[in-house]
Amino acid sequence: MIDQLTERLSDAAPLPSAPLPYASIRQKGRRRRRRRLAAKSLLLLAAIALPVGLVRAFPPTSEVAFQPTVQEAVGLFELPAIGEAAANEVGGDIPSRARLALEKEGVRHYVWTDASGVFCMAVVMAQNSSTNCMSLPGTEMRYSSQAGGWSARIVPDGYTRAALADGREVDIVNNILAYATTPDPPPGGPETSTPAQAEPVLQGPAGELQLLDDVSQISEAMFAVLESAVKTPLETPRGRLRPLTNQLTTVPLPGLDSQSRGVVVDQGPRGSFLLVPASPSEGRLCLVWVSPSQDDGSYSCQTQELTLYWPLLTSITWLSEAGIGWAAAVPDGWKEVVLADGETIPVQQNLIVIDDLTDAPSTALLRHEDGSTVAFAIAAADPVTPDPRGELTESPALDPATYSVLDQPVTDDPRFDRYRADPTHPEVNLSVPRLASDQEGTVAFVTPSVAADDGICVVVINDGSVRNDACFGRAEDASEPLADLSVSDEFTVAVVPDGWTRAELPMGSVVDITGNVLIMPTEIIRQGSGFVEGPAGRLPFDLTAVLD
Amino acid sequence: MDESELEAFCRREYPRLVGALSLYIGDQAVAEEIAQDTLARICADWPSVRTKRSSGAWTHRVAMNLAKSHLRRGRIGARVTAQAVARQPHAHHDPDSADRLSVRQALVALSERQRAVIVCRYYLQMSVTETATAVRVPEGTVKSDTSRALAQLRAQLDFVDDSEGVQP
Repeated sequence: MIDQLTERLSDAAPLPSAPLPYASIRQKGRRRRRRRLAAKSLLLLAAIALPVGLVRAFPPTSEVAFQPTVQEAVGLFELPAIGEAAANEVGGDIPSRARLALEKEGVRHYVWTDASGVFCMAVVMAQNSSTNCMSLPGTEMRYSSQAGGWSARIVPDGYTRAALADGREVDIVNNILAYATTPDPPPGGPETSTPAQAEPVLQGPAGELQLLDDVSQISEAMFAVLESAVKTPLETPRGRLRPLTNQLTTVPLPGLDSQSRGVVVDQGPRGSFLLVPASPSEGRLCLVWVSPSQDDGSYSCQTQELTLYWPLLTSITWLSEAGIGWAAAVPDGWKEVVLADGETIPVQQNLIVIDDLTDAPSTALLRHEDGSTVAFAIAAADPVTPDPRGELTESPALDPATYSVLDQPVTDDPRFDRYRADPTHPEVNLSVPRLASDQEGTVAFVTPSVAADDGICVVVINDGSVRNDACFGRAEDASEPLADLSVSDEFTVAVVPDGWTRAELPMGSVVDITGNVLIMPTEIIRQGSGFVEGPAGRLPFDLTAVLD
Repeated sequence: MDESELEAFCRREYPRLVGALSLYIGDQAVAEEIAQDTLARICADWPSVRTKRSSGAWTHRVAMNLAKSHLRRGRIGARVTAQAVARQPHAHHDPDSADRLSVRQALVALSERQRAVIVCRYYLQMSVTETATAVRVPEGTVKSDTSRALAQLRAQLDFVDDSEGVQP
């Protein structure tokens, strides 16, 4: 029967009605990648603008063929985020985007990056937890409890074991080096209360690396370009720029103003790049990009003490017609970048620029004059369909979509009663409406769907009449807020995941997204394109084709 | 990026995607749309996808996810299923169409999950493990769904007794 069934299924399955329109598929794929990368720019920045991001350092003499994969370079952040439920369960300040990097001897280690791209780690023991954020891998995070002391550090990629000063050897898992600082006495041996005097030596494919107790021992990176060129006043758009960790608003550069002086290290059609010593006393250096039209710009700053682990001192990205641009400042001595596809980009004036990351390989090799190389990630992994369950799954690059409006109490707003008396959508759960928004006479209610799936329904009432009601499937992640729409003559409605707070519509119209509901006048969005934005990112949209 | 490799992959997988999705969804036009959407996603992620152990299995998994999303969102589900059931054999003229339609109708009569399992197991010829991954259910569920679905198909479709044991 099985053979017959296979044969009959093959026979019953139709062939495509036309050849694959490959060119249009490819173009759609490029657009999709660009859109997703744009949405993920914040996350991307966490991966590439980190002061020390997950570096895989190779010995200077290593001349092995460079065949990195995405998985190799992104390290710890390949792990799936724990999600909202787990974060709530753990409690404390652990965000849903945290990764459970290591569970060892009853101690859990959660890692994430904060809004500035700084590593944070929470060490959670049975009864207690401790959270710390650190800008430098290798910085020790000690934790003491009655049960004993514990040390945990985030270390770069490329190291698999650590030799402690007390002779112990500890495996490094997911970039985490963790061990009890009061080791158990050996069986039959004398009791000891001496904490491990451990400034471990890391070992692995990257070679050996002695961690330092005092970060001040790390030498400062030198930038010859700052010495050789004439410094010019920093001219920024209205004296304000977008920090990379906040794409939505422009803010003054911390420690910088229009009086700051920097070095224009590159200037051309793609804009201007400046290196600006932001806070000389702290050794901070900023890389600033200003668009060709002078109306946009972004910057990123780091201290100059980080080069032991991470020669890309500071990096920035920007969006332009050419795609997603990327640039990084590197100290003296580093001469070129070799992308995984073989393309070589020279370091000029301490600056590396990639005009468009969209189709660029995800990893690259930075080569020093002395022959040493460091591999680094220039883009986060971009899984197709995040799914934490399957073995084929790679970690989702974005947090799963959540809809906090459903956590709000059920409303007894009388305006829903009329709909309840005469519902027009069979999936709306009439017993548990939440008030999503109430603006200028238009009120929106959200309910879970009564269908077997986990859909969400929205009912929009204006002037006492139902103007739109629809049920939507939940988004797979937060990257596509407008994946599903309900269009009526008056209002086009979308249920968007958390993280999107506002939409700029054509003709200068701006609407807030509250209660996970975006309500847009249909006539206005017929006029052209707009943006939807929030902490999750900023995405352009054009719904004219959908509406037509 | 090796463009020719990507193009060859897309052209190779497209017919199988369309076939599998048509059997699962019951509508060829929608199946072609989802297959193309799947391949657009694969194009977008090709540097990552091409390194996977089985790019093909990954692609079909994405396709099944998209198809399930479409069905779940009710854009096509009930309406298309009803249309597929309502189609009459006499609308087609080639001699094999009656059997094709009866196979499709028998598939439509299965539950959504059973249909996905049958398509993966016996059209795409995936293993139980691969099917479990593609459909996102435990392997035990794949086996039980397969068993029930085969029993239902056996009741609806004529099979020549080849004395072959059924091993879900």
